Amino acid sequence: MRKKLRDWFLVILFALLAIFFQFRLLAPILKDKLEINLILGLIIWLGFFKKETEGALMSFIISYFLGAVSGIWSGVYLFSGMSLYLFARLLRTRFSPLKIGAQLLFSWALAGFYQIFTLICAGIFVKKEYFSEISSGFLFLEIFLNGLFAVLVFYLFNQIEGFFDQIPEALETKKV
Amino acid sequence: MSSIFSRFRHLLVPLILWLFSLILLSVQSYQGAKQSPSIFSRVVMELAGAPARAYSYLSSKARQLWKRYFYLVGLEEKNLLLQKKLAMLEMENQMLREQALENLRLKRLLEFKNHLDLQTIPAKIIGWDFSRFAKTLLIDKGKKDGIKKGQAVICPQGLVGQIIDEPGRSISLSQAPVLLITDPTSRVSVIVQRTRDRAIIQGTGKTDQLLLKYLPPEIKLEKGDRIITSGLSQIFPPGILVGTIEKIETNPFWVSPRGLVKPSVDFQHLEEVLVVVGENQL
Repeated sequence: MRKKLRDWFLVILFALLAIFFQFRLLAPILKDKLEINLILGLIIWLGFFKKETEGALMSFIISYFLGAVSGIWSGVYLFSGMSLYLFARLLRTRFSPLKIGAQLLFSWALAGFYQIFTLICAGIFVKKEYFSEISSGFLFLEIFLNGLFAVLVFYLFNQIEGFFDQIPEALETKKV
Repeated sequence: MSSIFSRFRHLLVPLILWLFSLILLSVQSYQGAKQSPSIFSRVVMELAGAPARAYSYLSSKARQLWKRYFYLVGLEEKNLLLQKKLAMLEMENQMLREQALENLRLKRLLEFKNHLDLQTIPAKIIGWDFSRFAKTLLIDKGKKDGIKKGQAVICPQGLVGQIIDEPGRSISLSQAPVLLITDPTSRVSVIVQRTRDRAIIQGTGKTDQLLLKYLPPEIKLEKGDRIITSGLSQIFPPGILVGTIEKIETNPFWVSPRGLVKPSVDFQHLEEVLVVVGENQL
């Protein structure tokens, strides 16, 4: 129970800090050319290392957080976030999350899926003009960078877990 | 069917949430732009804004600290540097001002010299002796410039004094002492310009006062009367302004009245003089 509370606290705190970092610090520097998404890495990490119920609920909440401050309808980020979580959860059995190379490939694949899926959702549900963003050259750079950041988030959260002397579930599963 | 359900049972909650998010998005899309942010959305915005506010607060405090301390440290150094620079510029400015004033004075002196029918040597004052007993000054011209004892020293404002050569105050090769007319031992033969009456003017030891003596008993002096050199002494050329009558003193026991004369030269601010070395030959 204590561990769960701590995990919830850490995830929510990181999500708020990441949203702040993403929208208040990075966005003015990058001037809307690039959208670095740190929440993406957290959702993938949740899909990787957390139990379905807990991970899904956390993903739901942090996706809603992201949607709330994104400037677009919260449903877009909520739906794409939940889709990402499900996709990550389904794919986790295909990759070994312990190897950095696998983590990178996994992250890039999911980042690509997430970015494109979000734009498609926005195009379908909000404005069709968002479809044109898919062909933007910056999108691929965003995917590349977001994949890298996702691996950093993995590392960070694994360190935090290690700091609290906890072994991520996935590692335990792998040992078994 | 039941096996499929049991296989994906663990994904039930994620799937429900996924479906819920899809429904939410669809509702939002249906409602269109009319919708306003929900209370929960506002709460999230507030929560997400908390780190921003904390960051803003901390950064403003850090900026204040920087301004108040680190910036002030830099500012102090900068201030010292600027103060030094300012002092240098002030000094430079002062020197330029001084040069300009000197040029002006020398120009006046030159004009004065050209108007005189006298051979003069310009000299710069390099020292003062304003002790209780002596009123002398030192000029930068000496024997090698033709300076001799008894030569009159004048300036555009009037009579200054004469070159002396005494023990302790002798003429050297490059400098000479000048006995001012304000010295108590100084005597100059003068005339009152308006009345043409002769008299002797004597120093009082004060830089702003001379004593006019040996006037004719019947003389009617007026305040402001100009006193000029008579030329009788062979030392001072005639017609050089000495001063103006400031006060007339009478006494039944005195044979004649006395006049207190204000020197025409401001000795306190005198810097350049002309030494009369002879008369111009026409």
